[in-house]
Amino acid sequence: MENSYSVLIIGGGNAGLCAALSAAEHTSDILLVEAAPKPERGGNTKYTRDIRYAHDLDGYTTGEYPDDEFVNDVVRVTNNNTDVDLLKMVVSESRNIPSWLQNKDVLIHRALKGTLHLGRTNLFMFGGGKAMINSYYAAAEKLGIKIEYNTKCTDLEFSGNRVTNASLNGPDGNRTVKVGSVVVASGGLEANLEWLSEYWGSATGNFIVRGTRYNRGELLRVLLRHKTKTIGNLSQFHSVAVDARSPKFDGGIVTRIDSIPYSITVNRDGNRFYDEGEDLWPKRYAIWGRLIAEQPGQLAFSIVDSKAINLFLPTVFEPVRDDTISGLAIKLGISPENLSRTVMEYNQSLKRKCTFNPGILDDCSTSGLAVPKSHWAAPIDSPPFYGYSFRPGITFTYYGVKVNSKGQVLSDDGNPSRNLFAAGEIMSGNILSEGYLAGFGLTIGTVFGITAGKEAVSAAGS
Amino acid sequence: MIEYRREFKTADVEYVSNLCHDCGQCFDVCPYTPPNEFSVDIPKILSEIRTETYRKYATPRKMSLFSGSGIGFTLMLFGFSFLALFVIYLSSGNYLRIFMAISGPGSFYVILSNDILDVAGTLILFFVVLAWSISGKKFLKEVGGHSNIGLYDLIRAFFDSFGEKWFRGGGAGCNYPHRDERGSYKKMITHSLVLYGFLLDFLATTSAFVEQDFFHVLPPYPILSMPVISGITGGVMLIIGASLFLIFDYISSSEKDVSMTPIDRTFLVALLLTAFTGLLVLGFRNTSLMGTLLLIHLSMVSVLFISAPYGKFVHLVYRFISIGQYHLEKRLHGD
Ligand SMILES: Cc1cc2nc3c(=O)[nH]c(=O)nc-3n(C[C@H](O)[C@H](O)[C@H](O)COP(=O)(O)OP(=O)(O)OC[C@H]3O[C@@H](n4cnc5c(N)ncnc54)[C@H](O)[C@@H]3O)c2cc1C
Ligand code: SF4
Repeated sequence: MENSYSVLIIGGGNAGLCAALSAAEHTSDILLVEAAPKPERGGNTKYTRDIRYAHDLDGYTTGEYPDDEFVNDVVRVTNNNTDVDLLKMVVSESRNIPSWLQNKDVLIHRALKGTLHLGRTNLFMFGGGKAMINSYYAAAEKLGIKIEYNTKCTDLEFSGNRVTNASLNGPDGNRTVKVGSVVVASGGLEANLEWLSEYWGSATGNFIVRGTRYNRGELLRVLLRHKTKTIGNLSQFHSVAVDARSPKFDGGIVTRIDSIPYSITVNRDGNRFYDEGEDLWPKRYAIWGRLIAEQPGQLAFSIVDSKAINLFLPTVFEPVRDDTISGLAIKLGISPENLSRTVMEYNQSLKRKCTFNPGILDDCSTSGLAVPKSHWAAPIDSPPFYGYSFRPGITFTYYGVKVNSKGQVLSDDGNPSRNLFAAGEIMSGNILSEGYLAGFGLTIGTVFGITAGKEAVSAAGS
Repeated sequence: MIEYRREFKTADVEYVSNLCHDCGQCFDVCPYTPPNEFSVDIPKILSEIRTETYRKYATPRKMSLFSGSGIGFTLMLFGFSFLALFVIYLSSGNYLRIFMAISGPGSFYVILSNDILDVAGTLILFFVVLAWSISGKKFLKEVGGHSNIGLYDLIRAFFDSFGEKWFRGGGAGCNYPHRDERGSYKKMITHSLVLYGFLLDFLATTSAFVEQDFFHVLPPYPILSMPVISGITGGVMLIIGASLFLIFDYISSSEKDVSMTPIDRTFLVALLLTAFTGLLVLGFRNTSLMGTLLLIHLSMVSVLFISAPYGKFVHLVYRFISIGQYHLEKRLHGD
């Protein structure tokens, strides 16, 4: 086994592979370490489907998406909490994403006819994220990039503002390799529930991690130890409502349930706690993970009747079903009296005349309730009744390291490291510090991966 | 194909399972394959269902008992066919003629009479076509529902099948033999060798039939004749194709759990032996081995055809119908 590499890439997801493939345009002396075994490679990237990118009219989307609009979208969802220079760089570079993908044999869907609200702004990878990452790995192998699976980076050694060595832990034990430069692309820390519990306490025991179990934030810890400038904190994550029966890790996108706007959603005590119909679901689904995380036992239950059951996508797990509300409550483990009362109060608060329309912000709302339901408020009165139980499913964390436009990691005093770079989820918070914009995680990782890979080669030489 | 249907019933899954040619692409791109907790293995599931359709729609249904095991049934068929042919052989002429070197026009018919062969061949062929048609009709009724497959759809299915369209996967090919291998045309080429090898052999038989019954030229035919050239080419292609399939299958067997494998293997071995014994008959046609080889070869041929409605051979029926149904649904959706 060799013990010296020009470029070391840590992490085998989107950002790591983009960095490796970009570095490989200039050198072949590259080692990529991936913590997961080969069948589980590809981090959270393997669960993705689409990438947001600025573009004129093209064959992959239903319309143009100008830079300005893209920038504004990010500024809006982050409440103006974004590094505008880095953002503008990502947006303008994102125009090259389709040709980059094609170059690496990643197939892209032709424009999907009006099916999804993302059809104009995002391209969809043919076969999804796993197909994309498989193509990347195939390209990397062809270019002679050395890939070690089941191998974690556990520490970095510095001399001044340069990294000199990296400690690796692989199938054959520990070893230290000398490195010319390093790109950290090890994702977020969402799978490290022990670490998250420093903020969230025992609640993390009830969290579900939607993505890979290997994103444990080890590198972020290493960088914190080495006085790196960070962004965000442990309290923040993106999360959605997932089925409470989901696997603890790696449930991916299929465990999400979209019943909430057509239901009433109650906590363990049988009480409603948030306006289920506040806004269109694509704009609201991402707040529900956190709402549920704040409920007792981190549990919530969505109740629909037979009129509503076909309004949303069928779910992976069958819902609980009963002909009466109290029967359903017992099966779900909620107090039957409380749930019956909540349903009754809700039904009595409904407007008499309204036109129910799931496609728009309709005029069916409640009145006089402490927690209103602003749209799609239809009576829950047609048995059988169905119930889904939810837990918060974490998608990714925002906590990360600060970088400059080359992807160089900054130290506490604001100076960039000479040869240490970061790309992907570990630095996404520079730009997407809060909120969410579908398909933007891959955009940041791709642009910064490509940049960091290229810069890492020249930094290694100096 | 899935996007043309909303709700899934058993017949829908049977339809999809017969559209699946186990290219492995969905396995490769699915993030839920083992060791994921969901442990989804689509090609494996579809292979199980496909095997089940062969059993469920077998004609007559009772024979489906045999279709799973393969080997035992095939050996039994072989024994039975050989015995039958041997009895026919014994029923006329000198008992020892099988050990003699016979040559010249009609030498094969010294061993087994032309008329009996014609009758037996026709009967078997008739049986196969009938069993296939009935099974196909039952299957179509289930998967097609109220829609009506038109001639157009069948023509499309015909071109898809003989053009090996789906093995090409729109340019992506199949992840074959290894699941984690990049897509290639290996499977398409292997399948083409078997398919076209088989068709050439079929052509050899048909052209022999024409020469003999219309032009009254009795076999054996010279090397430079339609039956012999197509027979040799087809035989060699079949042997290479079937062997490749068996080898690929073997080297990747640890990665795949495909319940179709036993049926596949039986069919491939039967094809291989039929082609091989056919070439042997040709090679030794002027020697004293000809009689024995001819009996063995013809027994193999009858095994191949009598088992056709129950083993892997039947895939062409369900697959053809499924592809036709796909074109119909595509057409109805205006794509
Ligand atoms: C279910 C789901 C769906 C999503 N859908 C989309 C989408 O459609 N579009 C979109 O843009 N974004 C989506 N995202 C977000 C997206 O997945 C991330 O933004 C993106 O994949 C991050 O890429 P990455 O390379 O930084 O991290 P990852 O792809 O997670 O890769 C990190 C890799 O680092 C490895 N690793 C971790 N620690 C170490 C270590 N110490 N040593 C070595 N290796 C290590 C891990 O094994 C992992 O393979 C989704 C996320 C989830 C969970
Ligand atoms: S044909 Fe290929 S992609 Fe389709 S189901 Fe079968 S194995 Fe999967």
